[in-house]
Amino acid sequence: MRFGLGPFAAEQAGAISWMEAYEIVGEAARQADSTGFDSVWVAERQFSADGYCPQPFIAAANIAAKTESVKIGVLPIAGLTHPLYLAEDAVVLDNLSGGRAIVVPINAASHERMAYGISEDDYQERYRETIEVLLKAWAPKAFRHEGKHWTIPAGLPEHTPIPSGTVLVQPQPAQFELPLLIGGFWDYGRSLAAEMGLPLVLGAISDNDALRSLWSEYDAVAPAAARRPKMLIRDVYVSANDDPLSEVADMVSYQFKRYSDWGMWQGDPADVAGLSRSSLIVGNPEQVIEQIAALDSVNGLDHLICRMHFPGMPLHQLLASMSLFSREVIPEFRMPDLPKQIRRGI
Amino acid sequence: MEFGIGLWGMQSTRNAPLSHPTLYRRLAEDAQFAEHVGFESLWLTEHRFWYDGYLPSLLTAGGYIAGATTRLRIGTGCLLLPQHDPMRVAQGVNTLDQISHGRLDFGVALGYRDIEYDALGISRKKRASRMENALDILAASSRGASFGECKAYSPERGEAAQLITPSPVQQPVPIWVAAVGEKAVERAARRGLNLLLSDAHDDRRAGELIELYHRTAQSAGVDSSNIRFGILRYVWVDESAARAEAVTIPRLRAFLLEQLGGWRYLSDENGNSLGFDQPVALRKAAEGVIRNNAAIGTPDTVIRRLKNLESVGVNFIVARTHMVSESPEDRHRAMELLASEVAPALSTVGRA
Repeated sequence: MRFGLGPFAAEQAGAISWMEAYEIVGEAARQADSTGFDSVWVAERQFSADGYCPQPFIAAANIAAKTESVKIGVLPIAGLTHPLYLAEDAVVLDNLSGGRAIVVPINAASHERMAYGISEDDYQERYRETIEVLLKAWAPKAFRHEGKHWTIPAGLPEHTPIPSGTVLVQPQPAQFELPLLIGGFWDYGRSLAAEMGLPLVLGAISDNDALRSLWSEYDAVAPAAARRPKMLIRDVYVSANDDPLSEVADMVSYQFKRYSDWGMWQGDPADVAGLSRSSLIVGNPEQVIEQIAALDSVNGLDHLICRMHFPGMPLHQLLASMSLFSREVIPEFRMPDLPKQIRRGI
Repeated sequence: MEFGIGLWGMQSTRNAPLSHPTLYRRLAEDAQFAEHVGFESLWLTEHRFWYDGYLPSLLTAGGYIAGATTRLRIGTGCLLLPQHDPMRVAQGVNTLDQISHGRLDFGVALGYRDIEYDALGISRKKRASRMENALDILAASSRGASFGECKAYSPERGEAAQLITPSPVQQPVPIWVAAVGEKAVERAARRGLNLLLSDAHDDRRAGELIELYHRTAQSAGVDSSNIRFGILRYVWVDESAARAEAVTIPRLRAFLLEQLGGWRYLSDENGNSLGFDQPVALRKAAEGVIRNNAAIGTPDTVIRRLKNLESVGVNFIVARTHMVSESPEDRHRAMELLASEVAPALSTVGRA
């Protein structure tokens, strides 16, 4: 199994300012890069009072400058604005990171959709059309696109005609194929991923119990030949102390309250014990290994994206949790039958 | 007089092809070098759909420079604002200002290539009104206002009560308006924004436009005493005058003819834009830029060439030392000479 760190949100919470929040992202990414994590992730939400990162490619590019090897995953909202902006941000990230970009377009929350004056039905079409444009824009051929919402190039009568009627996005991605996965945080996204044969990322808002059927629904529709790493986002915290959950309870509540406010999750964010059973991976290293192994045996995961930074978490607490995770959890999944002396240290 | 260094467009041209990951790695190295030798800022340039991979996403590249440096300011020279969604840009400006700890110099220009507008489905004819609209939104977002409070906000966009977050570190982020014509100078002056004049202006014209700025500001009740008047200049400092003449001037000429010809950027004396289809007039215009709007040679030559800008009211130069086809070693040597030999001689007009 591969392990990612994130998605980061760089929100202002507790005593953490925005400037500090981005410093935490950078420092954590540096540590991830040198301690066995495979990827670092940043996500987008707009108009959030806590300043949740609204333009994640800028934060991702910042991570690229501070790391050498980790893949850099971005979860941008698709469909709010012209797809070429997203296409261009992504190719620039891919080149400045030496070909390390992964892009997982996610769906807008209703407050974001409404801020752009987009109806729910229109939004689904805009999301689909954005995915179609991204696939064309990242291919090494000039293209034209005629869709319900966008025509590229538009061919407006007041402009000098483009002889070929096509454009080619520049620069081209550094990777031959820029990895495009679909954010499966909504029904439409999951069915679209299956229909287009694109890989799917399931989110922290899907309970453990729901995962299996979500993958099965996907498998039933997606072409069997499509290669599709199974990726899952989980909120993860590791501590050697007696009661790890109590160390992050308030932050976890904050996190799930936000999901609830955005209309993406239903439940009681204050019920942290319930959340720890249904959605979190929290415990000492041995408990965390058990929880990941259990998820893996049911779902057959390829890549677990661990959201280890909760809103307001100070840097030292994050680095300590990451450090335990990299030394005492990750090795367990790098070799079957790992000698326990290696995991515990001799 | 202060100096920024420019312009990085991440181009892999016919004359100097290079892989883009290499170009971006060198951008980080160049930025670190610029910071080391003491430049105030490094400036990026935007275009889209050009064969050489010209940088289309300045704020993303800015995030990368912010991660590679600690003191250097990051200039967009310029972001083609009317081609973008202003809400997205406002969020990006504030985010980059936070990530860089308040090091953003946000330069904006209209853009002029039809294809760039057409691909995005935006009429080029609307570029001036889109610019004004976006500047209103940027001014409001810099204050942490909800975008419904922007006078430019168009109600068909939906719910107006949303906040643009985060707010920026700098209050406000300095905005520079690129100006070729008088309308853009007046636009900047009415708003009290910094001015970034073009490498197509000679010193005399730069002086006239700065005068126009002061007059317009005065009649609009705007205090122009602390405005920064910047200009783009092709600058290359070399110990050897002969080498500058033999190597750098032909390099600049090739760059001008290819790029500016391809984009119809230069104009003849009657204001008609010049393309590949008018090779003689284009060459004449390029020679005019080399002769009048560049400073290439030994430190003494460059000091003499740039000193005149001071007398016409310019107080900031974006030195276009990056001309695409030179080696990083040569570029760094020229940057070092500019910072150590030329800049101190022109620092008589200080900023508080």
